[in-house]
Amino acid sequence: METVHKTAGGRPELAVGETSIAMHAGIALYIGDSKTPAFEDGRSYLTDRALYYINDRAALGLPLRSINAAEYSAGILTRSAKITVRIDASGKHKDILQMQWKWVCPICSHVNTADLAADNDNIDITAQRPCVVCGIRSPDTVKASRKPAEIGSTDGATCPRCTFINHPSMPECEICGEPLKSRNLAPKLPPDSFKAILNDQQLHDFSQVTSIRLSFRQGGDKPFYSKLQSALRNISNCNSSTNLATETSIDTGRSTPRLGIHALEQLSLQQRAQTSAILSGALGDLDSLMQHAGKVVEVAQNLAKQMAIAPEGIVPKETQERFLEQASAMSLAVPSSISRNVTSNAHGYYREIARDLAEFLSLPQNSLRNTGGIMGLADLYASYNRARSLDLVSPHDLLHAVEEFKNLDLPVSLTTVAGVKVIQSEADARRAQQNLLKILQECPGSSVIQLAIKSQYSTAVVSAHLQILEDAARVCLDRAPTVLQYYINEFDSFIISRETISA
Amino acid sequence: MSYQYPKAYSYPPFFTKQPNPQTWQSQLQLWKDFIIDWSKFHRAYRLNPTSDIDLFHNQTIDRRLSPQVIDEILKYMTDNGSGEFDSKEFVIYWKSPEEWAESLYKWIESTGQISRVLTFKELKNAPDFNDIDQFVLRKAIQVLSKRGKAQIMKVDNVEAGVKFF
Repeated sequence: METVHKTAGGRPELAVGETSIAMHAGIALYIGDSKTPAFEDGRSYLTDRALYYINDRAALGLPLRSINAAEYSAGILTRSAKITVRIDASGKHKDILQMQWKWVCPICSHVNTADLAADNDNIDITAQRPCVVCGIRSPDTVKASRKPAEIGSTDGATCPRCTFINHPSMPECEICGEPLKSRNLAPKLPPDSFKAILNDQQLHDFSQVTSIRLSFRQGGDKPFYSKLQSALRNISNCNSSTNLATETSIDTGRSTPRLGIHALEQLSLQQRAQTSAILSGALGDLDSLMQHAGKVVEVAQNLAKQMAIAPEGIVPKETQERFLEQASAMSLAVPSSISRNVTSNAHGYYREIARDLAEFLSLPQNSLRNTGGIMGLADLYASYNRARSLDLVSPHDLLHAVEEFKNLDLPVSLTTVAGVKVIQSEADARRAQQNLLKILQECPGSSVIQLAIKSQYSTAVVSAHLQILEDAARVCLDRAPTVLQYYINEFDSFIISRETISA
Repeated sequence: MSYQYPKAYSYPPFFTKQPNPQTWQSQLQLWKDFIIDWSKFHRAYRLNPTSDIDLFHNQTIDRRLSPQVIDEILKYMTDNGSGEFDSKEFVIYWKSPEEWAESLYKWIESTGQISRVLTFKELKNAPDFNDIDQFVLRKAIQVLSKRGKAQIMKVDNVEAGVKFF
């Protein structure tokens, strides 16, 4: 078990392609056989790769591969139902998770990354996925050492993968990026020195914990347990299928008996191997597509940035605007992992949407700063659902979600301005109001439209801010014959100046 | 010397009723101060809210108070003891009846007219009383009679004079 990073919305940061399966709130965490909970009132997230526990003090993650077993004990009277998770703390599984093998495709020279289970220091790459660029499988059996290359007696270090002789100061191969062991490198921290820092500055080492218990104070234990079990089953299936593939590819290389039960067994094994090859090939393509989608979005964003700062005249203005629009739409398409069936109850679902919204609004392109710190619910609904593309959220769910903002201590909040519900970011709204006051100081008697033009906010946002400022007695209004005009409130200063004169 | 209008008089929101209650209170106070100031300068005792609207109309910035807001301001002044309605007209107490009574009694004392009966006309000889409004003068005498320092004398049921004690 180790500490993980939290997102702006207070959820675990998931790896690329990691999808959440279940989430439940109101959970206490016991470590080891301790009778008192280490953490109270937290949320558990179950993804297809790990089990997370998060509350306001801690954020812990536990890879599913390192879970030996999960046991369920029902609640009795005042005792809440608990799930006991037994952890293999030997560190072997962590290695499996972290191990990555790089190999150079002989056709296109692309450096591929594969993460595979391996024992000792040797790895068998025969059952590997095809090259992500050209789709060609790597040559048959390649035995390689996972150990970084030792520096030879020559001046440079020979790369163990591509045999290029590197300069001795290089930490990794110049050609293929393989790590080279150099005597000049500082020793790295051991990987299991993860420590969680608690509020009381006490250091806790969670890496050697052998079991944890999740206590479900608010029910929902059974569905969570069944989801955990099926997730664990999936993980172990994945492991065994790769093993199987390795086995069969080796076996087919030998001479096979063509008669009797052996032959039938061999035939079915071969068929299975073929199916798994087809499947892994197909899924591998999908995976690489997903990987590249991320890169494409990145490229689009970079281009958009460059376009935005490009001097005028080089690119026609119309093209530039259209491109920026497209680029921002692309980067908006954040895959969202929440759907109604993930969470155990409606309340938790709304809270998850609320957290997702907070994360969505913390992205620079959706920031409330650009809109003056305030956004109407209709605008939020439109832009959020545009980002979710197909997995839409209903207006009813969104309304419930924004009402949860205040309970979750998020950087955005729901307020009512002149009878209209809006979401606002406190800091951005204050900045916008200062901005409006500054404009009013420079040109007193501005109308809403003039203010909207000068501040670049929408008229609705300007009206909302003026209403807030009016309620705070910062501005006052003048019903001029044609239009409603706004002024900085100077009544109090008139009274003060009168008093000083009479005194 | 012409009258020096206060700064607020050229501030357009001064002529619009502010929706914020706190601001509205400040605005009422400023209007009250301005009306008293203005009538003191012009020695005006009466104001007709329907015809004397020049006071509530700033022509240079083209802003005027609506009749409803004028009513609210005059009601505020009544509650505040700064004025009172005498039928349709509003009597402004730029000096309160107590203050008038005070200076009247001082004059009576200093001129040795205690226990004498003075006609209403004679009372106008008092300093600063020459153009006093009848209504305000009555109010001041009422204050004194409540304190037991004056009494209105009647001849044939017509008020003829005031006796001071």
